Amino acid sequence: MKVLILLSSVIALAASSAKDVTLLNVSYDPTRELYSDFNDAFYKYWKAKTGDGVRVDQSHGGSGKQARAIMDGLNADVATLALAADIDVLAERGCLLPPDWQQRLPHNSSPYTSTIVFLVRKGNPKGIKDWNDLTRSGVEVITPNPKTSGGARWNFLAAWAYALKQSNGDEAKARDFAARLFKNVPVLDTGARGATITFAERGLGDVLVAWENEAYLTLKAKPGQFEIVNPSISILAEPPVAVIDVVAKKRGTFEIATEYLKYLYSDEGQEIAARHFYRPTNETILAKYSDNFPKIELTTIDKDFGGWKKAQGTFFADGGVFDQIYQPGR
Amino acid sequence: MSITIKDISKNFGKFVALDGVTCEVRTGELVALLGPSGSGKTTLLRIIAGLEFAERGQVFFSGRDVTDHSAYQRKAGFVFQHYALFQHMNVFENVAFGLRVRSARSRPKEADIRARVESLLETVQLADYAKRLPSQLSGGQRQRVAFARALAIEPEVLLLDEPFGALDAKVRRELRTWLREFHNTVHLTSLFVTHDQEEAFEVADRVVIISEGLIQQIGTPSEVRSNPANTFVEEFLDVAQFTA
Amino acid sequence: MGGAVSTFPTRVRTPRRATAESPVVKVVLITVLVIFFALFLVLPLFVVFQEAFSKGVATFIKTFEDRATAHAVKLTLIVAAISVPLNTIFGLAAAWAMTRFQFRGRALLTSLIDLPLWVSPVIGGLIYVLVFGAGGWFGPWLRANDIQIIFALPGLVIATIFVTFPFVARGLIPLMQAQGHKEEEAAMTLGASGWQIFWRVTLPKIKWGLLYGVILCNARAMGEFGAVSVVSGHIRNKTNTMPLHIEILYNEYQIAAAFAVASVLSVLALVTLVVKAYAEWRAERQLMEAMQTSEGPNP
Repeated sequence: MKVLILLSSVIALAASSAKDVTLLNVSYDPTRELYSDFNDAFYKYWKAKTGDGVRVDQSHGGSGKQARAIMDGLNADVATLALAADIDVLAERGCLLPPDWQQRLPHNSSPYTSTIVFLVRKGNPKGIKDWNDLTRSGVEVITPNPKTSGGARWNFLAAWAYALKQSNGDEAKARDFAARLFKNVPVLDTGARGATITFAERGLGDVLVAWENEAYLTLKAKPGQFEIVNPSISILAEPPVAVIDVVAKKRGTFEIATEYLKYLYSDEGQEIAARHFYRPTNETILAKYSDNFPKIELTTIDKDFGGWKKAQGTFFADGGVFDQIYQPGR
Repeated sequence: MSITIKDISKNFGKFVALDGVTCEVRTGELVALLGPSGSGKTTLLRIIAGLEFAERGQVFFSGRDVTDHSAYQRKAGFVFQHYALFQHMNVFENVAFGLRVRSARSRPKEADIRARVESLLETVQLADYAKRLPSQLSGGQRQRVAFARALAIEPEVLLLDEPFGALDAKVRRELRTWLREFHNTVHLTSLFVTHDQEEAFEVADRVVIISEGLIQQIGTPSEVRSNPANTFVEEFLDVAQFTA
Repeated sequence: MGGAVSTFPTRVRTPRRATAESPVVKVVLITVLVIFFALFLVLPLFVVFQEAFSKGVATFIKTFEDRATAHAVKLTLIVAAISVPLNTIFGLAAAWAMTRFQFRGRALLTSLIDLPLWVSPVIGGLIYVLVFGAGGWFGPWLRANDIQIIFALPGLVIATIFVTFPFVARGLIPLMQAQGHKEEEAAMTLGASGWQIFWRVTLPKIKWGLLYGVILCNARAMGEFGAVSVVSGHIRNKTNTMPLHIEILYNEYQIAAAFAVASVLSVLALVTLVVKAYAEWRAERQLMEAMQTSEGPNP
């Protein structure tokens, strides 16, 4: 009896929420606060424009893990992940969206960009200035697992770019550099946020290799405890967004989901991104917030690594470079 | 009511418990099923009650075939060796149980249930113990509650499985005498299982001696004693006499 | 002290069993145990409550006014309200079958009931993703028929049932085995139907053991993280149960809120502990009574 009442209340709950449009945004780890704000803004915008309410549910986790969940049937209307490779998987193996998805929105479908910086403890007690400091013995480095985390893959490639530049393109030396760096990693979390918590809350490690936005957020959440160090070279991280066609078309949300993503490129969307320390692609708004975003020499995935498909295969596929250089528990 | 058993066979896996047993308990008779442990006597009793089903053979109550009837349809009064009283019910409720579970149509009125249970407790000399729980009674008292409970449903046959087996010698003798006297007054068709020949010979009108799933001899105590049918009966009685 | 002397028969003192260790060992072991409990059980529990109220009672209460948190609490209750009764029925049926019938494969089934206790809950969750997920066995069919199991309420319930199904059956099997079924047979000869036997004879006999199992089952159902995490999809206001929500709050630097929710689960655990101890005590008494009244099987 009790069960029946509860069941019917569940059904009633589902029915009542069906009046408004609901979208599910499956995203990566550090974007929780960004989308929490952005969803409110979009609600107001859409209500004013059409009179309809639109609620966006959020799900966050390591980018690779989230892609896996979408493959397994998590009904994401939109995916806003850490890197293009994770959405490529959905397009190629899952056939959930067309292969040219990245051409559907401006800037390779990345409304905001970011980069990888270092977060160190107040006063920088280990004197960490650049990537080579991370390979020193006695320095503990916190970074998540490149297998499950998008941020971690950007971290890895940024370090790799530095090593290649230092050795004038000697790949063997870069390999050795990466191996030495990962020897200093005591624990691999599955997502960027997990790594941040490990570093900031649990107090493990001397340096967190992190998204610029994540590093700033930590500064804000724990004032006076940390500082940011910008390395001499980093990577232009382009977290892409995409409508998952198969899901959205089935649910009849394709148009509104597209509008939702387009709104990320609007002035308001760009402002919100900038306020959450994501670098806006809109030059005017980037200029307005330029104090927050120092100029760092940035390599790009397309120019220096031949695109995500190639980089993913070379570095992070099973048996790839990462598997070769990383042995846990050493 | 009479009980007729025709060619009953029962196996437990490869073990043959009963091998074509045929016998009869006449109306109003008190019969003992006597045999060593493992002889199949309890199995036979349980088959008569409907607690166990035979592979072959038939059971008749007064000529009516009840072979396929379940225990609760047969309603034979059954008394278990270890009493099997309902631990969570007091003595009164134990005895009333068989009346309370009847369908609304045939269930006696509450006052009638009360009267009947009280008179039964009177019969087994436990009138003052109605509110006690089984755990607060002695073994002999428990077994008397079990008797009263079995009699409450007014069974036409009474089946007793080693009813005195778990009691000490003195209580056993008392209850044995009580059972014989009780039977003399009501003449309820009764079959009781025992491995104790003294008990069987003292209480029963007739004795059925069983061993290894086969009936060895049927007769009155004096017939069996004076004229054993075969060497098994001879030896069994001898040994029993010796150890008793 | 004096461990060796105590073996001398000339001294009158309570004799020590041959297997007993010296008093020094006893003291050391007990001390270690107490320290262990304090360190690993009492202290963390204390910290949970301290953190929960670190920003005051008002903040504590406000946590549960938050929509996502309130939803997580509600969802957890719904999941438990569905899975616990189902597992109670299943546990009863399983215990009944295991103790009343002899059949081929019974021993295997008895150990299979324990399977969820050996297997990591994460694997329990993954199994269902492989079966019901989009790429799983039933994935295409479910999708074609618009049935969502994984990343929705049914998935949460199924995963919860998986991890909690041993508790009721495991509590009942030893009890019902010890009690035997003579009382049920007696009821049968008195004309009771199967249903009457169950309600009037069996259920009262096993009620404390049953309650014990149900309480453990409920505590685990509400507290389960691993299996549920795999099939949840972590959608706020939709598929986030309390344990999952605690992780999310913690990861969002809402430490006080995370511990506030955690403290509610801890209170549940404490209540469970008390009720469990009582039910266990009663169940043990039932078991002892059963052993006393039916010593040895009937020949």
